[in-house]
Amino acid sequence: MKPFTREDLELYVIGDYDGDLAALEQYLATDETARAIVAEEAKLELALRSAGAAGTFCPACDDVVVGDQCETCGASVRAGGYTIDRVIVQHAHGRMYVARDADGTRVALKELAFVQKPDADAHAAFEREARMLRALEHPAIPHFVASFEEGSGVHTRYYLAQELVEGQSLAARLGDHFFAEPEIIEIARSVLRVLVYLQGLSPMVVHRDIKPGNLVQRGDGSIAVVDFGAAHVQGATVGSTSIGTFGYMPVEQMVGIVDATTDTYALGASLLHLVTRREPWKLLQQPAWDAVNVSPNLHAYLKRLVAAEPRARFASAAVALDALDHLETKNPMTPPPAVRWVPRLMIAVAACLAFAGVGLFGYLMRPATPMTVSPPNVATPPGWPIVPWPRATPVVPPAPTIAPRARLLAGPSIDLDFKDMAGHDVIRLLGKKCKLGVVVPDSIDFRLSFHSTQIPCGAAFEDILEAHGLWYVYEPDIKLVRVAPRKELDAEAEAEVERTKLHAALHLVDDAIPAGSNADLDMKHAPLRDLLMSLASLNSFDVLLPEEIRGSVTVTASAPWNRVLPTILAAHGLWFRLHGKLIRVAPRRQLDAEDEAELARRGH
Amino acid sequence: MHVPEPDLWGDAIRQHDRKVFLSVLALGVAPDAAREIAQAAWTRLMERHAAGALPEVELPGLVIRQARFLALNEHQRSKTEKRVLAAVPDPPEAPELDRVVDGKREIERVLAALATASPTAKKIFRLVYATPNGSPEAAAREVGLSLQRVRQILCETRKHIRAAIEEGPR
Repeated sequence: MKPFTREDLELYVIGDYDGDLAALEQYLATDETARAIVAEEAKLELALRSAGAAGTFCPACDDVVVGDQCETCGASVRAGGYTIDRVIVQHAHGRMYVARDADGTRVALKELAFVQKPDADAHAAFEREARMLRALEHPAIPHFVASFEEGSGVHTRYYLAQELVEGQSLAARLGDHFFAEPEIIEIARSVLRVLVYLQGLSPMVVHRDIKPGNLVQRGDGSIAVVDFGAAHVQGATVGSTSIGTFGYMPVEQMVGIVDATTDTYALGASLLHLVTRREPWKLLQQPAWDAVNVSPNLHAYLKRLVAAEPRARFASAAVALDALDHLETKNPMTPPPAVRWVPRLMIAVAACLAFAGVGLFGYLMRPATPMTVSPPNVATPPGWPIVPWPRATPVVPPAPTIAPRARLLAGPSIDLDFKDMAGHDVIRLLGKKCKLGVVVPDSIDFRLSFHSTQIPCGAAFEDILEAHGLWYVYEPDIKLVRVAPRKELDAEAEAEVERTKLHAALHLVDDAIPAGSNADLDMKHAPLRDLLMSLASLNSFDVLLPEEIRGSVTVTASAPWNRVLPTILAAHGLWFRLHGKLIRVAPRRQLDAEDEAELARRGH
Repeated sequence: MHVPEPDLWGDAIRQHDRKVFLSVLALGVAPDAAREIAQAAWTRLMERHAAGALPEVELPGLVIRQARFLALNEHQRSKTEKRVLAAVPDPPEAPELDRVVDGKREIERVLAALATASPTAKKIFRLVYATPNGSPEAAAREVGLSLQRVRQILCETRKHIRAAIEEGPR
């Protein structure tokens, strides 16, 4: 048998062979046949490199393009002296590209395409938009670069080149970020300043499509307002066409009526989306304002921004900005006290009281980010004996900002194609494709065939889990997804509310395992006991495991061990108590019973 | 066409050396020898340029031609030595130089074969071969697949293109 496969030789030629390179080269020095294969592969590699350099590839579908437009999908590869690098967004009427001019300066290039020859109105609208963009001068609005058209008849395309705003839209940031109240206020202030500028122009300009997707946070944290494609110059003819994005626009905009409150309304809806992580139309249609977990003053402010009746809103962006400044004066934002990590499975006392009795609602809205509590001022002497009580330091009741539970948002799009695959493997595969760690207890058992192309990760996870009565807990900071039956998660959430009350009564904080090594795990049906003991011993901890704790788990993760271990425990209805360097593992119910007994002992 | 400044030779080597090495490997030379030949080609080019013998340096074409010339010289010398010293049969004939890439027809065949590959294969091809500093690793990050899977797709794509080139009109 030959020591190296053809694939090894191919990878060697590609420059991607990660085996024993010296051995392979030694082999090549002595084996003429292998050398001949490498010679053939090298010729092919050179051909591929030449083709790669000479060919033009579609930025949208990657097809080989002859000419300036892709025959497969219609995307442009060159337009007006610009070379297209990639597609930012595409829809039925056109695309937004990142493009480069001859000097290499990058721009955002908007393209409008037509299925019929554009009429005079379409041309006038394009000219109007270009004129308006040229006139706008504000640091938070991308500056106009050029406008031009190419082609003729049905092949006409209009282009607008603008400064490329490098950053991430707030819609994209929602995927991995929780917005705290000070951030929300800062975003509101930034956007309102732009709106004040637009409303100060004569005639006034209404953006008409303010939404998280059109608010881009630059690297320096500043916010830029982009996509003036729907913008309207006050006084111009208003048709009855509905322009804007449903959920962010006020009702009257649906029939073409816009005024100085239109954009502030959309800003309010956008801020609500950022605060609650729920599409604003869901909030605005239902009496769900309790889910808007901000300070009372900001709560009232947001309510006024999105008042259904225009007269009940702030009269203009300037008035709204003034009110925002006044809001801060009345409600100064003090810097938070020092942060101490508290396990995310614990809800703050305030949250508990706020959500007591709303079980599932509390589950949906529980915090997924560390809470802010005052640091305890208790020193633990070395060799502190193991005592059952008090096993943790008293908590100063915090007044946290409650963020909703993290959800897997769209994420990258992936291709899935498998038949009759076991549930563990399906979830592992999803995790690997989406670059997420997963923890799957053995109790989860299903088989699935699935075929989909370019499905967003979030949708793939949620669709597959939901179809099998499962759901997940996602820890975005360590990119770890714990999968469990939905009913169990609901029960967990309810138990957690009770537990939080109990802990509050006992003035307890859950034990936190100290940081240590990174757990790089990729195991299928790993015996639970062995896994827990290995994780603990690698970090010089002892672990006490009652005999009845058995089972196995499928886990892929690359995260700090002190975060992975609790997740694995939670997946099995277990939790822990920390006694110095000993981790005592027990069923969570048992630990709750111990707490209750302690509370009773204290005479409550 | 450009003349590298002395401090730009390092950049030129970083940019083109892999291609020079591959062009020598494509002649059936063992990796160690190919590496030495590539180095010698660069050195000779730099010396000639420093001596003012090369007003214009076309890269990587010139260095590739230099390296192939050295490789063939070495091959001829080795062939003679082997015949004299060991009377062993000649090694397989070195492939014809003009069959080694860069031909317009060959590029067209590659692109035509690529057009019939899967969308993922096309994307990976673009990310590896038509993107500055492209590599399977960078492609894996971009498309959200494992490196192993990307390598597999790349090898399948190469196989597909190789077959198309071999079957295509000569």
